[in-house]
Amino acid sequence: MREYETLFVTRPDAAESQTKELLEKLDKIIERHGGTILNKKNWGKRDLAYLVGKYNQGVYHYYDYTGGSGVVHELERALKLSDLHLKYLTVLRSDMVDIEARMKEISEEKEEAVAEPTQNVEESERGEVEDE
Amino acid sequence: MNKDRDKYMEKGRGRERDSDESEYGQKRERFIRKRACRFCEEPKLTIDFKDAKALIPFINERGKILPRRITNNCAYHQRKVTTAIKRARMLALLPYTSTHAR
Repeated sequence: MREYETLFVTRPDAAESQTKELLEKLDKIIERHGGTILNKKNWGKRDLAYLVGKYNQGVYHYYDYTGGSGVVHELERALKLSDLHLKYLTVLRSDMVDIEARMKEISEEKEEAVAEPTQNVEESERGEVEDE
Repeated sequence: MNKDRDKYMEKGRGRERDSDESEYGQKRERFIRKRACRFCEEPKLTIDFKDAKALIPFINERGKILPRRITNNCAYHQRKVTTAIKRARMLALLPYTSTHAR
């Protein structure tokens, strides 16, 4: 079982019901392939670093899940077919994943994140920059 | 070469230049040790394309990836930083270039 993470951006003007439908579809795909969703997060609306089509904002969704190689193919296909997405990227996190251990790790991470004040999502992406 | 180095020193990168007057009154420069890679020194620091804010120190105003000479990263971690920046760019978390109209 492999662990993948997918980050994708949906249109900011999409109806909530549409996005929800898409997310449910993705959940089903992962389930159908015998995978587990380890982590799922909505980052909310963020400024994009550059224009994508006509949009300068997008809603970011993060998925961390397990599955075989087929799951990525189908998930990305579903994303491509939906006219909601602006961008997506899937990254392989590990070849062999111990689901329970990972689950534990992730819940610990979450607790830590709660303990520390969470960063402001709306904050600008472009902060201090070192010179050339 | 010296000019370049002076430029770093001004920005507070690298170690203070140790110069001393020799008995002949000539200024001599000592060997300057390169600062260690920050990721090697602090294993807790992670490099992740999702954390775009943490990657900002490694790009310049134009969005270019800074060289190792300036970031002081070791080859291994510079590679990780580079891929992370490229991934972040794909997802519009970081700019490819600053000349785009926003």
